Amino acid sequence: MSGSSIAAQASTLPDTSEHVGASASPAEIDTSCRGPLLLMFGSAVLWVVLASVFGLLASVKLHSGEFLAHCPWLTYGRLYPAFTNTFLYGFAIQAGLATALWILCRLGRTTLQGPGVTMVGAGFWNLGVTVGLVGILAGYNTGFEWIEMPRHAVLLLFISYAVIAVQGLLTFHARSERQLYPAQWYLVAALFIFPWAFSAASYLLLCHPVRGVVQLAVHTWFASNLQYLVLLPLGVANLYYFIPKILQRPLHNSNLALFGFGTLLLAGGWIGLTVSSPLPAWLVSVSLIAGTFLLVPILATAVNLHRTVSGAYRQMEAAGPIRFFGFSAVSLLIAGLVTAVISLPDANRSVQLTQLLTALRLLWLYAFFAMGAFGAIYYIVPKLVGIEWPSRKLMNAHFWLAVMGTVLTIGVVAAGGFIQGHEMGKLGVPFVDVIKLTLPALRFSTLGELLLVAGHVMLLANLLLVCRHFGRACATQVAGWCGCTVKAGGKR
Amino acid sequence: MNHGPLLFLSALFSLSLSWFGFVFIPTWQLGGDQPEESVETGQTYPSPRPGLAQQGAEVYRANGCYYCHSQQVTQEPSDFDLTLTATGPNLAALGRVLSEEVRPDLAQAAAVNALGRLPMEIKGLDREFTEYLTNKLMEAGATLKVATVVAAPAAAKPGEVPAHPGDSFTVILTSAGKTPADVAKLLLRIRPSLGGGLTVPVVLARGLSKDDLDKLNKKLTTAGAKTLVKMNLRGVDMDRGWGRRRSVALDYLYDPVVMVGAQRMGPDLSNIGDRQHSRVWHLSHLFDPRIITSEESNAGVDSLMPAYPYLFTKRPRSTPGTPGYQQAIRLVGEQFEIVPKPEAEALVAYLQSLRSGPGLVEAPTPKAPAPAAPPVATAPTAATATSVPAVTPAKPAAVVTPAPEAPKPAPPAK
Ligand code: HEC
Repeated sequence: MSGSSIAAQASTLPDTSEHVGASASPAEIDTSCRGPLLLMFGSAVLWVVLASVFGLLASVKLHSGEFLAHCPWLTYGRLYPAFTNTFLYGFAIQAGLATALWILCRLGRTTLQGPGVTMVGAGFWNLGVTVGLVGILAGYNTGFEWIEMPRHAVLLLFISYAVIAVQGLLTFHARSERQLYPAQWYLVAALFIFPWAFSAASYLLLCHPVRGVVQLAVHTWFASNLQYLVLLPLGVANLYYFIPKILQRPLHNSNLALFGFGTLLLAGGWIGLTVSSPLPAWLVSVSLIAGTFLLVPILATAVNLHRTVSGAYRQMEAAGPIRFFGFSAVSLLIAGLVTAVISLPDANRSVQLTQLLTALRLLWLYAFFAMGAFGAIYYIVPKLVGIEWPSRKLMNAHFWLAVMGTVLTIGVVAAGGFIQGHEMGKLGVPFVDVIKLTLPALRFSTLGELLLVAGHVMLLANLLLVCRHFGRACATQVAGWCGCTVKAGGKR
Repeated sequence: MNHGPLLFLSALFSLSLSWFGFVFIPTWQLGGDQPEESVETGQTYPSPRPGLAQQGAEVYRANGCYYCHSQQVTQEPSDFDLTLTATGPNLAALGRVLSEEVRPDLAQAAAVNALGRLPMEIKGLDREFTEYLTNKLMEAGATLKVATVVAAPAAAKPGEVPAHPGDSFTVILTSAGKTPADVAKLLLRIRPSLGGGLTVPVVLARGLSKDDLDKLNKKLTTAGAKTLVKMNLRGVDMDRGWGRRRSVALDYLYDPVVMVGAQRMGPDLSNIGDRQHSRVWHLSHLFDPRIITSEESNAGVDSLMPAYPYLFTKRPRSTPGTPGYQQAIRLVGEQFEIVPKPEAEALVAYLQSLRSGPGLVEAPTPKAPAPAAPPVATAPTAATATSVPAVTPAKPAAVVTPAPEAPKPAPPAK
């Protein structure tokens, strides 16, 4: 791969010079993005609130079997997939896509292509998530984690994704800044990989199911791609874009970033089988090796970010979006380390089939990805509407609630999972006793989930305040002017 | 230059590579799997599920039982026991292998044993070594005599040149004294064949890994000994009664949706049909897991499993002849009875159909098959009207109508 030649051209500080030739100004870009992105971010925030409520209920049900027992829609086995699917599709992918569009515009110095089409796509995406959610709650679970949504919802999601992603690629293609910045690599790869993996997996699992355990292989392949080749690159792109930009420090080394990118592409599609999976042994070994190998791209990213920030760590703690990115970066490193360790066969034997894997997943999806996405939302939304966040306090409260909630939930669940694995591995310990030992952990994790819900509500409240201010500004504009080309959007 | 195509290609490359490994090869390797003849029972395995059980699998899926229950029996890598069955002709070689690498203690014991047959002559020694040996042996508490054979150079071992050609000594050990073990240790060094004279069969090692086993076995067989290898199937899952062997790909051949599960908040259910046959037990457990657990577990832990009351209709106790009377379950101490909905019956049929597969070439079973449980098809499903105790009362009093398929005293939930 001619990575080095590209790296040599790549700029090291995202969109510094404001106007070059025919390129679009940030203000123009933000105006073009306003409609679709506000829709996507707004829905993403609503979904994350809902998802965390499902998560909270599921966590209560995990230790209190009687709670809401009479309602089939609210049984644990439906709430839990409702939580993961709304979180993934409603929040994570949607917010990730929206951020990707904006970064592609900014880095390519071009306006968003087809904002109207994107908006329609986003509308249908949300419809898809809603249909899927109702399907899961009504008992049409497909039985495959992360694509539990019934077939028609999946189809809807696929089409609307394609509509949005095509706009993203057109935007990328139309860029007036030809030099590539590392974040773009990650974003474009994620944009490509998601639809392929999603459609191939839904075809082979839901439409023409493959036989027997091959399903397990296909499913692991999909989950691995989604987690490590879609969400992980989206999250890393966020970090590579926003951290240098906010701190106004050039990215330490683009070659290193490209090295991380290449190695991530190699490892990312293989991770997730456990030692005892009833699949051919070679496949299990490859999967475990890939899990350990993932540490290479993660370390490359961590070192790169560390060298970028080094000397300015104080600034990372400042209130505002930057803190979210800082937390996300640290979580990335921890998640990479834990993944590598539990991919060692002996460790894997002990933690497979335990809550530790749930904790690890939360670490990836929440502590790393969602925190970065929150940071992006906090950074981008004011640019779109031209209004600062009405409440700085709410933002800080969100940050601290999220930090406490994440640390508490993940820490406690991981500890519970560790105990569970340890006790399960002992001869002569009855299973009920194993579960009894993890019970306190399950109870505490409910508290963590509660904090997370509270944090998301802060974000939602802040967003509603923005809407009110923005609505007012719009109204005055409309009154004083014809048409709704809001001037406020013009200020950077 | 436009790097879009390059990016596209690298993403495509990465995706196709993993697709190839995870989708293409397994489909090719396993997709054509056919039922196989069991090495244990000689019957073809597996066979498709009966219709009702198949519907039950859907209820299981819709209600997400698989988020808490795995259906995947794990097994630690097997280890091996090595037994020596015959010592073979070359005792010296065997003794050397035993005392130097495998089991010095056994070799020593054999040598001590040989000391029971004194006197013993050690011939053909030179002067220096004789002095050394006698000193050492006497230190160890042995009694001995030394005889000299003069001018018999031919008696010296080939390659071993005596210090004073012509002098050869014989040490005659008459008593091993109080610490025969020390004496034996010394003797083993010059007479390794003493260590090879063990009484067979004897277990040389337990719990060996495959590599260690191969190494040891090779040494012993080169020394002319005969061995027997026993494979141990170890597994905490099997110890908990969750299966008789590990789960393999074939077990899932006829599952339209494979639900191996990734979490164990509840016990593994791969063989729940073997562990728990009773329809009434299953139904009552689904209606409220706490009825069963508070009754069974002396640990006093209430079940964490959610209750599924919505799979039942609750109504006041009916009299014989009322529709559904036969199917209804009357919980003792309660004024109501519960009538399972069709989903509940299907779910239970599915649970009853989950059984440990027979031993296969790729996953043998450790023991002879357990007495076969009644097959699902013949298990009475509807004709049972039984009461199960609600919460506490003693069991016998609680059963109003003894069921044809009486709830066996269930094994304590593990
Ligand atoms: C929240 C997790 C959870 C869910 C969801 C769940 N279970 Fe359980 N299950 C448990 C726990 C914990 C136990 C052990 C205590 C007990 O026996 O009740 C258990 C035990 C069982 C047992 C008895 C196992 C034995 O070894 O005796 C069966 C059968 C069972 N569950 C079936 C189901 C079915 C069918 C469903 C779906 C309708 C289901 N479970 C859903 C947690 C769960």
